[in-house]
Amino acid sequence: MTDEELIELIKESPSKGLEKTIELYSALVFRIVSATLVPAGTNEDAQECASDVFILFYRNIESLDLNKGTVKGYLAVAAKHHAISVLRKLKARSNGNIISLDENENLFSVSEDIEKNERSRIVKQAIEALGEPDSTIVVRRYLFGETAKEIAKDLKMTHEAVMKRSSRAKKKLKELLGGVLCG
Amino acid sequence: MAKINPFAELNAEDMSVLVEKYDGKIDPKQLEAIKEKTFCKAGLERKKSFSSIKVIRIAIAAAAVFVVVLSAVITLSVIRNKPKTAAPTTVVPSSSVSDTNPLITAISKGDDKLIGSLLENSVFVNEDVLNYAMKYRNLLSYRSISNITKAVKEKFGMTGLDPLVENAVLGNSAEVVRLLQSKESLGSLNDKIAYFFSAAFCSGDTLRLFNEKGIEIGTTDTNGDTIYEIAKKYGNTENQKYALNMGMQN
Repeated sequence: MTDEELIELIKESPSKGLEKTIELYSALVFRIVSATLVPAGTNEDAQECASDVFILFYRNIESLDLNKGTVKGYLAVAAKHHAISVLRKLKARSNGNIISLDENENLFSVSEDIEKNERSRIVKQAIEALGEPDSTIVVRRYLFGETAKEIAKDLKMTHEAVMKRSSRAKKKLKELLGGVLCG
Repeated sequence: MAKINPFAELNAEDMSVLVEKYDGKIDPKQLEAIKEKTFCKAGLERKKSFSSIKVIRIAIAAAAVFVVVLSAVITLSVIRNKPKTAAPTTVVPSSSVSDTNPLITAISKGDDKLIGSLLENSVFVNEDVLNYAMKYRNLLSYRSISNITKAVKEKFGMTGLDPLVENAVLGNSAEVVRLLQSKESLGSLNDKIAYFFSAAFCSGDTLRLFNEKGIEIGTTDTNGDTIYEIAKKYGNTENQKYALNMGMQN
């Protein structure tokens, strides 16, 4: 199913469209939010956060510009940003309170901020400049939170080799971007 | 040195390139949980596949339809046998729960006013409404949650809530006191929820026991309200006095 067909389906039949979106992209969204929430969140928090991302997607469907990114890309950006925001709230509120969804949050609009878009381009270029398999390793370790063991199995490498490459790639990214990397 | 999170800097266009090849799988249980939560928040009804719960629900609905049809037949036969001058008896058609239960939608939107009106018709009260009410409790007034709990209890004879929470929500002070006396110490999330509801609907004795058994007097609920503020909001003067006597500020 293409992105255009998916959006059409959501508009025609919200239930079917939303269900399809979750089936197609929940693995990606859940991966990203879980990886980001690791320091303070539970599995339940990750599920809540992932479902918030789909709600925000559904409510802001009109903001999507498919010339500026795929549904998968938009969801990944929203997952990362929303998980960071939930993580901040979780750290601030450790008394078990429910974290409510910010109804006004729109993580799906295309940013016209030239500076932001330039930073995004620099990060993407820096990741790509690592070359393969290092760029894949960095994305899978630090965006999807996959373990070195999982990555090693897929890339047919040893666990140690993935660890070494990931550490070296992280150092290189740090040099390219400046500062200390966090997941 | 500043910490940077490179992936948070990416816009949709650049992220799309990086995640294009991702084809990971998700545990079906996680998938189901995400779907359930998302549909609940969106106020949409899922077209679920047949499950045992669905079969039971359909059976209950079929039985309800049968009862309505049967009573209609009986009523019609009574009308036919009555003298023509008698006032006609009308059979009120049983309203059925629509595909999207408006009560659940109202709960998920925190619409207390609409919840109040919908509760007048018990047809919207099903096994799920209380789960949703507790889930979205930070959006709802304590009064709405209490009314939903009462409606569920009346319809099904039970609520499935933790007994301490249930009795606090329903304002059963004596039962709350009895349950509290049987507990060694308190501190769980349920204990705190019961504490806040007791501030709204129970007597001062209950609050004293909660505090004696380990709940901090200044604990605040999801809206940041203390027991004093909750008691004030729900007109519980006894608990307002208790909170003030315990040193809380007016």
